[in-house]
Amino acid sequence: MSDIRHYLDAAGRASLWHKEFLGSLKKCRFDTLAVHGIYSMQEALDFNQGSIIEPIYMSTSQAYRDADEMEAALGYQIPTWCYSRIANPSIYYLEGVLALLEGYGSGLETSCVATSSGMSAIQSAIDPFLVIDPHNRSVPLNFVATTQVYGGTFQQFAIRKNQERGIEWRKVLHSTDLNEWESLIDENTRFLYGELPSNPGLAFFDIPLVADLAHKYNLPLIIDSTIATPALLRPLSLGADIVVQSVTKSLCTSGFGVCGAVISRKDIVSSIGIPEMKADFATWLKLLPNRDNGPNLSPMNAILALNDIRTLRIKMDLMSRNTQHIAQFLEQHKHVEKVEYLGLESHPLHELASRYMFLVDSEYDTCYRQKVNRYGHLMSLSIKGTPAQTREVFNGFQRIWRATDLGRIKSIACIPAISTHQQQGEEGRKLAGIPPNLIRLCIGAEHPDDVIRDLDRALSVLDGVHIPVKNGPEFSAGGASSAKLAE
Amino acid sequence: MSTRGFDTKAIHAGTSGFTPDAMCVPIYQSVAYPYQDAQEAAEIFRGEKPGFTYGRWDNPTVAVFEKRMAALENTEGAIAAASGMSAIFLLTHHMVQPGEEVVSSNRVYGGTFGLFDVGLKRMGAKVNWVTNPESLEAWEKAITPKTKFLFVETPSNPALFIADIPALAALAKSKKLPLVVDNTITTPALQLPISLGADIVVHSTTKYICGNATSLGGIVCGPREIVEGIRQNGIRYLGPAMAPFNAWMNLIGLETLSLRMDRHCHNAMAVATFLEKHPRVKYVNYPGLESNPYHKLIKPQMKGCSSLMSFELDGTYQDATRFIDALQIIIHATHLGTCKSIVTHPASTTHSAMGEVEMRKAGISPSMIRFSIGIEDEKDLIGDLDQAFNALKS
Repeated sequence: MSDIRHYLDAAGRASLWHKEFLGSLKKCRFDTLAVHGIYSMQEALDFNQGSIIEPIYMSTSQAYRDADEMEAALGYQIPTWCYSRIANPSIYYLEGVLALLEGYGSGLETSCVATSSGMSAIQSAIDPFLVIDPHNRSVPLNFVATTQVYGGTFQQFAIRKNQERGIEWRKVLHSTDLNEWESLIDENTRFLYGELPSNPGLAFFDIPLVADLAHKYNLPLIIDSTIATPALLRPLSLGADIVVQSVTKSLCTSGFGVCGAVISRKDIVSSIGIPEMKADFATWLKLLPNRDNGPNLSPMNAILALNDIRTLRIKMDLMSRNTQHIAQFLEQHKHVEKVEYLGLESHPLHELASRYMFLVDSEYDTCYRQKVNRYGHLMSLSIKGTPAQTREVFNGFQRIWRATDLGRIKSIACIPAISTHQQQGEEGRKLAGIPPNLIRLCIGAEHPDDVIRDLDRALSVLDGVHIPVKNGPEFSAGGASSAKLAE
Repeated sequence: MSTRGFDTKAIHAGTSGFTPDAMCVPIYQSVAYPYQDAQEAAEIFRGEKPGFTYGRWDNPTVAVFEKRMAALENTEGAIAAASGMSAIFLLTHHMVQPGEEVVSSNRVYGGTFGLFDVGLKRMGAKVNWVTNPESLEAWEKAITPKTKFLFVETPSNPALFIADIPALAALAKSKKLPLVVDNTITTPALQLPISLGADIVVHSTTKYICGNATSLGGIVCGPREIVEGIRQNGIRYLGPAMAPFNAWMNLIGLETLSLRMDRHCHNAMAVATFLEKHPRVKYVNYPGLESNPYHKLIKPQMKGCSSLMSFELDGTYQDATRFIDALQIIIHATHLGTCKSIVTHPASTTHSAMGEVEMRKAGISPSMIRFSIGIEDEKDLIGDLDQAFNALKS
């Protein structure tokens, strides 16, 4: 005879224990949460061989004591991880810390679902709102989103949703214009979406105002907060309902792999959806739609991400300061037409960004003892030159890495028009404000003097200086032999 | 678990009493483990209570690998190390004091040869080499009152000497000395030295046990007293610990060990048979061939001959290098015991420093070629060899 009560009782007691533990974390500062997350000493001692670091549960599935436990677990009546497409202990630990950091200082209860990439986080977050009304199948759906978004997001919206599914992307061209946002909303709009600061255009808008607007129409506001990270901006505390993160970027400066997350507040606003979905969106997403759609993260990546996140705040501080310094240098440079960085007073959105982008807990930091603005480590420069000269400057970098990447501890540059934003075409680039002479820079933790030297040298090609391409050695520093000798 | 079959143990042993309910052992990539309280910390450190303290000498993932290897080799315990060489070093360091001696077959891997030859001297100890290890009398003669253990690698790399383990074990027993067997080439899937009378087994798990050339590792399997002695007094201060990730990779390797060894043996036999019949081959050294002088020892102590072999090409040093360069599937590298077939030319690489005269004394000719046969398709391996032989004609 089936009797799962034993397990349900234990689950009830466990739930109280964890609730009390989470409550105790409310007193902790950001760095403490980033370092420890939800992995307590008790969690280590009782369940994880006492390991001080969260173990990598590189295992597809969980074994159960008996049929009763399995029944209760698969019915989601007790804590479980069952199968790694749905849940996994290592991934729970990552989700726990991300939920705490995004909710930090807001008093909000938050939850998180990790995904295999930032793009799958966006897909996971928006898809539940784009369901067809069974009573009115012919109604065309739409969503309102900023055009200044990452190129991959642009494609997901323009091709996968708009073109292939007939779900209209209503484009907000000037995201600071509240009237423009409002003019695009109608009864078939399902959500508002914005990326800020945007990559690479650094668009920024007033989250509380857009959130109020969304809520006035009973819609959720979804924010891609990848560039800021919770160390500098926490959109949920400003009224957003859902945050998506490409955890791959500044949350994981080491660049070990690809990883994403959706973080939500409790009781999100939405015109559609069942009560369970609205009550705890990220948990519902994790246990149901993502179980069925399968964009799960690898446990290995979860733990590598966790280890990176522990030092998030100090890294964002250092890299923001480096970027500020370098942006100021470039602004004075004779070959630079324009520098875009939210930290520069010349930036039209500087004042707005300064109202919201602060280094978390700087007022409790013995270095600062007051709230200090930090603007992240993404910036761009437009050179006074042709697209061909832009490429030449780019090719001249020796310290700064040429890659389609950002958020790294290493400085990285790319030309968006030929890389990240290539797929959307000339027209799409015009909409998103991506000129061909724009170089995107994401400044790392190197000493800024060395990065400046590299930039100055590369820009000297505009003085007619030729930077010779040096032949590489035939054996690597790591001891690898080169294919060159085989020729 | 000890009564279970080999394949069952290779997949399941070592996880009893393990709290996590995961299908696969988690990777505890963690160096330290908190204690419930000060009392517990003291008890664990005194060895009165099982528990983990610090990753240099204990780690939960590594512990599962150690227990699984002990179950497979039928020993009381096991201690993992960073490499096969560090396993042999830890054992030697634990067993031998200054002024004492080790008796070893001289047909051992070059690294082991160096450790005994030079390393023991630096420890104020020495090795007595048995240069004719086929002879039991030679072993007996090498033993002195200062001898601490007998060491034999069987089959040996690269000479493929095979020891009569029961006979050697009987000798060791009569002298009250432990017999240490390096079981790297056969693995416990093909040879169980303990059931043949040996006392301690060492491995480079880097080879067939891991099976895919991803992770270095070594292990000493033996009586609890020795293994735990190495843990408390050796690895703790000397430090060559196995990484948890490598232990996990080795655990994954063990799951398919006997399947792979079966295929290694099958392919090696096919290649050896092909080579033996080939007109450009002078001789083939593979114990699985009936022509091999050690062939009679195989049946009583080995389930198979593994996949290490060598042959002498009927030709020059240059012919040998041309042959190796012509191979397309078989990789030219200094490794053995992995899924991919590997070829080595000792005269131009591993033994080149010896010079031709010394090399010939050691039984290595300029046209000798060593293989570690992998688990690719048998036909493709023979096809690769065939086309390399044909390339010599042009």
